[in-house]
Amino acid sequence: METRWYFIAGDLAANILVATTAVALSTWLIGGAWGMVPGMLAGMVIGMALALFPFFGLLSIALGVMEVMTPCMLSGMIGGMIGGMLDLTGAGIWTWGSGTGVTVLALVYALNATISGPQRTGS
Amino acid sequence: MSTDTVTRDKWDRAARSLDLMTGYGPEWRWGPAKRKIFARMQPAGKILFLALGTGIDIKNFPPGCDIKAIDISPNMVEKAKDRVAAYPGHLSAQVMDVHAMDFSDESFDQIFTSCTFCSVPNPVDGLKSLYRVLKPGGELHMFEHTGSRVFPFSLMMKLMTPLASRFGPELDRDTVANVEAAGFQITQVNNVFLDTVKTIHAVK
Repeated sequence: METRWYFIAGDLAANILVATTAVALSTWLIGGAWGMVPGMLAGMVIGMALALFPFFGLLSIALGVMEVMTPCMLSGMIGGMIGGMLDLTGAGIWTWGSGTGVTVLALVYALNATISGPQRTGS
Repeated sequence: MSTDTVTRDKWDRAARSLDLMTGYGPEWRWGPAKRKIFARMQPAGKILFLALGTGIDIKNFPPGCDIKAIDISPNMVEKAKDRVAAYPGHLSAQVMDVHAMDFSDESFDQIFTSCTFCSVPNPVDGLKSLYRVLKPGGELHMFEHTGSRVFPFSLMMKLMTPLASRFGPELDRDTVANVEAAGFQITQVNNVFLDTVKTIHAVK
């Protein structure tokens, strides 16, 4: 379980940044115009791609590899899905993006607290 | 078996940016777990370490050990030269492919790996090579990132692996299963982050 403030604050900022940008980008590109399911799927792809390029390379230098990649891809994916389904404006983009980033990170931290540590002793 | 030139060339190219990409955030994040695993190095025994990379892990080695370090990439070994020379113990670095190691059978007491078997092209064959050079009762200690069994991370890593493996590691390896398939007996698996970063301890 991560307890260092540098990483906790960094993870939070990274996930909010990726999710909010994903919501904004897929709102701008799709914004609910394609219907619920196509918008969601296209937004998902946009969000995942965004988490990888350009964010992953930059964020991983400062914050780690898997610890950035796994939650940020999920934040990007969900943020993209939201932006693809809904026609949002500035405040909505920020609210949904930051909410997504915080929620995803909280879930990943909770899951990590559950499954990190010794798993097996002996064959 | 001859050296895998495709893998060698890929890591030769990666040597230019490896310190930048892994020397800060990833090292700060993983440093405590790595130091814990390397603290098991025993000064009395012969130790094999792979993959050396640019030698970032050397600062986490306890002093006074007798370590042979290998890496498939000549550029990595060249960049590691100063760190190898600064180690307070006996550390030598060689360019060598884990699939084609020229060490004799049962020549090491301990083997340590650090983010290695995400990149070895034939992981079970590579681990069998480690099994060959490890003495009976010898220890294998690994710090590795692996695939996940947790959805949606499992799917995300499978989707990303074709891209990631062009520049660096594969992200969906089942390294614990590979260690067992190579004949080792697992003594402990410890998840460092989710089930994607872990330490694995095994014996021959």
